[in-house]
Amino acid sequence: MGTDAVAIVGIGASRVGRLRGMSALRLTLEAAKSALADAGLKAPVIDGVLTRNLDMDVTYMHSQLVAKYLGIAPRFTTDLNLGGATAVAMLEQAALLIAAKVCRFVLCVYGENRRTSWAHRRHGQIRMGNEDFEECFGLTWGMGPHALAAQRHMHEFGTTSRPLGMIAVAQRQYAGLHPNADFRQPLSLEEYQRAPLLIAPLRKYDLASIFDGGAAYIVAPLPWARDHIACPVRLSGVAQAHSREHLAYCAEMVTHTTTPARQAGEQVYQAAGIKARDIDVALLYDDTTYGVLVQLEDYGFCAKGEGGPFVEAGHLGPHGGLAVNTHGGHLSQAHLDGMLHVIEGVEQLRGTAGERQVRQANTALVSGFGGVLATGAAAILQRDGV
Amino acid sequence: MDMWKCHTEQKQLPIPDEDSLIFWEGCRRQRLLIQQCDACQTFRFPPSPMCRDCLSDFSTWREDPGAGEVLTFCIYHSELAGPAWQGDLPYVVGVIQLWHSGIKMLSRLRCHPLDKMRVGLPVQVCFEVADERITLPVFVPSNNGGAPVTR
Repeated sequence: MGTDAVAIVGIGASRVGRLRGMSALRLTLEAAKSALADAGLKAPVIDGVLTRNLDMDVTYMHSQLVAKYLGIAPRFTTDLNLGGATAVAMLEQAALLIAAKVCRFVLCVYGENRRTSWAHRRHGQIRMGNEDFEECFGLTWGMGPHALAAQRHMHEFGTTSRPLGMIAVAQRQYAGLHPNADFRQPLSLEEYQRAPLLIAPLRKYDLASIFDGGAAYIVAPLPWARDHIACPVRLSGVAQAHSREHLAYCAEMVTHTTTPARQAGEQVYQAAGIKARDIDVALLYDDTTYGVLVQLEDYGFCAKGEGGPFVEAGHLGPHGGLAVNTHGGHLSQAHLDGMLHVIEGVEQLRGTAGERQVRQANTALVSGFGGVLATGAAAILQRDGV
Repeated sequence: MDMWKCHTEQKQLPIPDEDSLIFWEGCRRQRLLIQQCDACQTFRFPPSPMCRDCLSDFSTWREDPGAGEVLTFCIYHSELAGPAWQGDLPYVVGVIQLWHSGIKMLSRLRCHPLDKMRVGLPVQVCFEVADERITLPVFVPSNNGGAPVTR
């Protein structure tokens, strides 16, 4: 590809050699700081962060962790790992981001203490990052932070378990209409309330289970799609937003009742030129019912704190105004980290959703949450030619 | 539901690393040490090599009196906690805002009876020896009702 329009504007390195007592994180941050100084840039100006994950201490959502410790809330961040080709591959990725006008200033950084690492005690196990300051107190990964966040929301806004139960019931209804769903048996609100509290305030049917499965999609130029595909589904907008937090330590994240979904939503609506009221079907990432409720607020379907009343007023579901997770979602279809939400969005817009079909579905919102509630990502899909 | 559990048979204690060694040594000596950036005075937690507000790598460990209040909490009742935690059920995990340094800390909350637990409850750190290397900072309701410490 032509990369004439980008330049390397700053370089930096940490001390190198045998550096006992220096963590991989310290080496990474030193290098980043040095490059920033060389470029004459301050960290908050950086809107793209690319890293290579660690060999000795493979870390979940590593690039977000590095961004967090630099105080950066990037527009785009990811790990790349092509082994020894990563250093050059990061240049290509950075150039693509800048050429597409997604980012202006992309930091590419990798630091590790392969020689003197203390991390060998965890070698072979991926490091989630929450082991030393969360798991040791009995906070389990994933669901624990959702329970903490839900409790805070209940305290601030008086939200009860009833709207959470209604979300679980509605999604189970949809799953019952889906030929490829795991939990299809109808669920009543009474059964939801009777089911045990697993991590209070969350109950059994508030939480997604784990599953096996695979999903894929292919993206191509719109002109080709119009020539070759019966019903092209256009990607009208896509965005991601980060909270400057990492699930490794959720104390900040769970005490804020607004999530990065709000910023991702604002960006994606602007990119697509639409508003929340234009959404016909919302496929909202759902590790828990609370995750769905807070996204109803943050994607603008109702005001902050009003998620409970919005659900209780019956706005969700086939007879309400907003169809949510018409595949049953993680809660009832299967948990595939949001992949099936993309699939369902396309099915709805193509008109192939069978008994789950939302009438006149022209515009879909598909969302993802990374690292519990730390990273929000959103896409607007639209039926082409409408 | 296995992925969401602590699936280990025994509780996993923290493994101090290059950046957290001093914090855990402080706990072993029953002191809650919080890093304060030398350049911009911002406190930070968990321990890290650099201040994320100003990127200074100079910091000083300050002792925090350990008084604060509960911002949120959750209560484990189930097998989701994992096999190592069954004997502790039900137990409370929460986020505590420390009044002196202002940082938010996640920890165990030892509260009996359980229904005394609420957002806003004033709490105080206390230290529990886990083994010869690790002492954990946990929190209990303040005896005196608690009050922000002004210095």
